[in-house]
Amino acid sequence: MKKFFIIFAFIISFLFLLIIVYAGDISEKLTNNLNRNLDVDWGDDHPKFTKQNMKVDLLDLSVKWDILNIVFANTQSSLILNSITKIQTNKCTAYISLLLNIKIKMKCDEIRIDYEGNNWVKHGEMKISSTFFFERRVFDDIYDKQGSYEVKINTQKLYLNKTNHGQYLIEYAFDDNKKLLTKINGIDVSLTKQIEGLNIRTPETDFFILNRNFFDNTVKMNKTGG
Amino acid sequence: MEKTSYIRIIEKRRYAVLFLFLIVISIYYVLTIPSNSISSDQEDAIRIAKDILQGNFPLHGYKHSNGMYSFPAFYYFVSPLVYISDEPIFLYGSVAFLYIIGVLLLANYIYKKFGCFESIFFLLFSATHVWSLFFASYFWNPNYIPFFMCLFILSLAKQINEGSSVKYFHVSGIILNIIVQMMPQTIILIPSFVFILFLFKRLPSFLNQIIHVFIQLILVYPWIHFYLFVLDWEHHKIAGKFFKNCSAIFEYFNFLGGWGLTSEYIDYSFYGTNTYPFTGFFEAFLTLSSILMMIMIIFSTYLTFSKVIYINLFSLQIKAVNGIDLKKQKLFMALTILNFSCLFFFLTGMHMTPHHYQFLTPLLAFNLTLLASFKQHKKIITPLLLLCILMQGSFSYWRAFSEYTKPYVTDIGYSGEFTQYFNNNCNAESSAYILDPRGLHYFKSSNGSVDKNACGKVVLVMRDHFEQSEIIRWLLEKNYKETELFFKDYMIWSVKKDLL
Repeated sequence: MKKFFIIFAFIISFLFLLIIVYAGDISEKLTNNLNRNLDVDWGDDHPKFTKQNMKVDLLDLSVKWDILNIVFANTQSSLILNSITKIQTNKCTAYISLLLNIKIKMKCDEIRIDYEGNNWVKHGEMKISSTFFFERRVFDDIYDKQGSYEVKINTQKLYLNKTNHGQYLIEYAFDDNKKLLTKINGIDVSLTKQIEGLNIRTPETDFFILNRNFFDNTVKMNKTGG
Repeated sequence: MEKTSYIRIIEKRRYAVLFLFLIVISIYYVLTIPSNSISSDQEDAIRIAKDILQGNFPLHGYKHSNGMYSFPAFYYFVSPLVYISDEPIFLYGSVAFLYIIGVLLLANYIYKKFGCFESIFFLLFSATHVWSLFFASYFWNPNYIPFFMCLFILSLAKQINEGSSVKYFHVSGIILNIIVQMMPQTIILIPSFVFILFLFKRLPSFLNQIIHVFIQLILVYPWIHFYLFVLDWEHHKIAGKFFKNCSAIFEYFNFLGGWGLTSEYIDYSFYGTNTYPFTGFFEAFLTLSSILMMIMIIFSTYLTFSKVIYINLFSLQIKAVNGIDLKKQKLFMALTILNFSCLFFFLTGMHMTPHHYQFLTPLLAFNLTLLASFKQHKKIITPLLLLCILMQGSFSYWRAFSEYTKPYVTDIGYSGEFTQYFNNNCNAESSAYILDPRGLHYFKSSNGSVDKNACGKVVLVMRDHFEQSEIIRWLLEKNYKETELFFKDYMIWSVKKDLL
């Protein structure tokens, strides 16, 4: 048993040593892979990424970039994803912490988000979107990729449709596969996936984005006079 | 004379126990079988079975989500049933019937070999386990597995503990083949089965092993023939990957306790259970039973492997436990090893859901029953197992009653009844829609005569859905008016209020 532990410790130490010695080469390889993946053209209905000076540092467990822009495909549909048209990030560094659970801390000089306006229908205390519908896969895709992550984004300037809102701290983590808990400048906002759509709860108001069936049978029908 | 009357009393007690089980489990299925829906998998199975009856023999079954074609044994197995009747109620009932037969056969064996205590516990577990009861209530490829698993365990028990092991070796192998054809994931049972025979030194001669390999090949030959000579490989894509996710361990846990069935909409099945407003309570309740069962399984695994002595690579020995019948101990160890093979799913990251674990149905019941019967652990394990049975049973029979009182209008037992009701109340210009948390969907049109009401578009909504969903209330109150019509637990809304 003792021998087994010694061999095991030796192998682990050797692996760590290898990583430290070749950290530069591995970082370069990871940088190339990340850039290559972001350059892939997934088709007209997928977001496009443009970036400048994006680098991975293995020893620092960080990714840095000067510019990363995400331009969303404008498919003219009312899917909630199409509410955001563009996200621009400038001078950012994302640190990854692997202790206990995966934490990502991102610091940016500037984040700009351009989005389409949303109209709401009032129903009691609830506001229901009459512009966009929600599709479960949007939530499921994010949960699949980030379900076990805690993300903290700190930006010096947040521009929403070209209006500067100053410094913003956004934190989010999934409570379970149905609920995303976020904190935006200290204010709790929860996004809960329901069969009927997406419920967004803030301390003051409840917002609801209907699923496609409800959207087509209510909002869209009223718009087209059906 | 006294001995004869004692035997008679024992016999009576045995039949009374079996009969009681039969009554209780029949109540469950009488309440739940009509409350199942029918989908393409069932319709395809009936169609393929009819093809078989007409002489068109399929080489494979439906395509799995990973792109692989399934084995065809299920369709050949159900074709005689479809010959008798293609009525969904009959076919759904056949799954429950065979499950009950399998459990009774095994319970009878347990009674004879180990006694009343073990048999009662096995029956209690089988009549209450949430997922096992649920799957045996409808017609689907993997749902006959518990029946075959009962036969497999019987055959395995005889092979381990009785004289002629060769005959039972072939029988067990053939049953395993059928089980694997119905659910390919159960292939992990084969190495475990071989290991058990090796451990108890019951492997047959090399010649018999070779013969058995040929038997296996013959049984899956249609599928092999399809892949070798018929399939167009150029256009065949397989989407599977090795380490998919960590669902296997969670779903194993789910299968033990049944908490996945507390949701109304579940994957790979029609409906779970609308537990509103008790969802949180039932989830906690069943999760507790999962934890208790997991503790007992871990303890079983420890007990089993601590009794295996390693001599060398080709020889293992088992250490007999004082005060425990060796036959019982061997069977207990064999069942634990079969259960332990699920570790393969966890380590390889296979995508698993509760229906993949159906082979555990009689296995778990028997395994935990034997654990509870060991004198050394009886005081602790028996109350724990009883508590699990109580928790599982409470939910299962609450669920059955709820399904009976609040069926879906699309269910096989109620769809026809609604059609009759609709035709009696509304004329042919009327159409019915269903509104549930997923949205508004067309259901059917009326064939009622002209003297009936012109109901127009009517919307059926379950009272539970109306109460739990603000969006449903918003849609209804905005566009429709509540009528005085109702069907089972459905409220009926219409653009016209004065329907009656």
